[in-house]
Amino acid sequence: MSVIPLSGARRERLGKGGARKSRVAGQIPGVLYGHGEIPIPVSVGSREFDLALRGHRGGNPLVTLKIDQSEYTALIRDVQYDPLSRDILHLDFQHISLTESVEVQVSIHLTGLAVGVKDGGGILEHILRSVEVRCLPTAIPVLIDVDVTALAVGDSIHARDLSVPNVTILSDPDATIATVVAPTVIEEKPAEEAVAAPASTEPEVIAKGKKEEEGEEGKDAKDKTDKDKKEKK
Amino acid sequence: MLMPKRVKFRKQQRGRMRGKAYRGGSVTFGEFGLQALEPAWVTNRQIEAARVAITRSIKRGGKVWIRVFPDKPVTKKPAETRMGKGKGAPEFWVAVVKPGRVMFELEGISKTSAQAAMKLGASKLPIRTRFVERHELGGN
Repeated sequence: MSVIPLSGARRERLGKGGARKSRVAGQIPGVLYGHGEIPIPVSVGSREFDLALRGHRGGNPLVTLKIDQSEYTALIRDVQYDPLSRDILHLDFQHISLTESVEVQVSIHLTGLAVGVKDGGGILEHILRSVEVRCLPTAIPVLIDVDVTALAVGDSIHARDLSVPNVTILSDPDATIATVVAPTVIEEKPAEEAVAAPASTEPEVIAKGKKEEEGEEGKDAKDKTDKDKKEKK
Repeated sequence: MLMPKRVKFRKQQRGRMRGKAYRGGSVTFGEFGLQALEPAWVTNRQIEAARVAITRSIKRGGKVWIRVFPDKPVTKKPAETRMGKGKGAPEFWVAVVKPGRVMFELEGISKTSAQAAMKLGASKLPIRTRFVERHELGGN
């Protein structure tokens, strides 16, 4: 895996306001943490980051982050996006050592056309899209390719079937990665039936049962006071 | 029609729809999605109509996820009623949708078929939407 060089700066103004200021100035706010060190708030040039990661495949890029004449080898742990503009809002860099193993999520990429889809008319369901692995930072696979050509209708591939060199898979071995299922037949209701079905808008109210209980309690209390009155007499 | 089975209270206040949907704003289950670009109350009838349009378009292949649920009751007073005498009766259910929310997801079909299906589904909704794909850092 290639290491992407990036240069950043230490962020002086922290918090929501500081982060917004850096975004306006064309920077991406972020944080560098890990290795038992005090977290450093950083900012990286937005355009520089885009250019550096252009063409990069996989979700675990390794970077060398240069801040104040010191270089940190880091893994991009988390990226926050704006849901509408898809701009990057915040970056998490984890300072790592190239000789210590790390735990990361690696995407699974399905290749080939399953027999069950081609001949059986089934639907290929991609259930597990990434697996957790432990390996050296330099050995992090870009993607894990899984060939699904042999899958017939009803067949599936599990996490235990994966074999990636120099990598320990931590995900549940029984987790299903992909399966080919028979297509569901949609039963169309006749138009009359659909119209005749009354659309009730009133679901069950949970608080109703509580009221009844309260009512019973109230009844008990009334009986008790009646008894007390009789005793007094 | 989608609606809750049990609720704690029959009626709710209207509320406001400020900001963007920071949760549920990315394609998570499938490969393609339909993202809301405006805030709106989407009724259970509209959700159902969009679902039917999408599933009919993709026919037998593919899988559909509905990522919004109408859990907010909307009340209405009967016609020609004087003001007062309390809040009206619950009439229908809505999902509060904010801009950025991925409302439907699709998997198991080609991009062109997914785009066509989502276009039909979007026409049943009261808001502007856009077709989105699963996104990963670096553009893959």
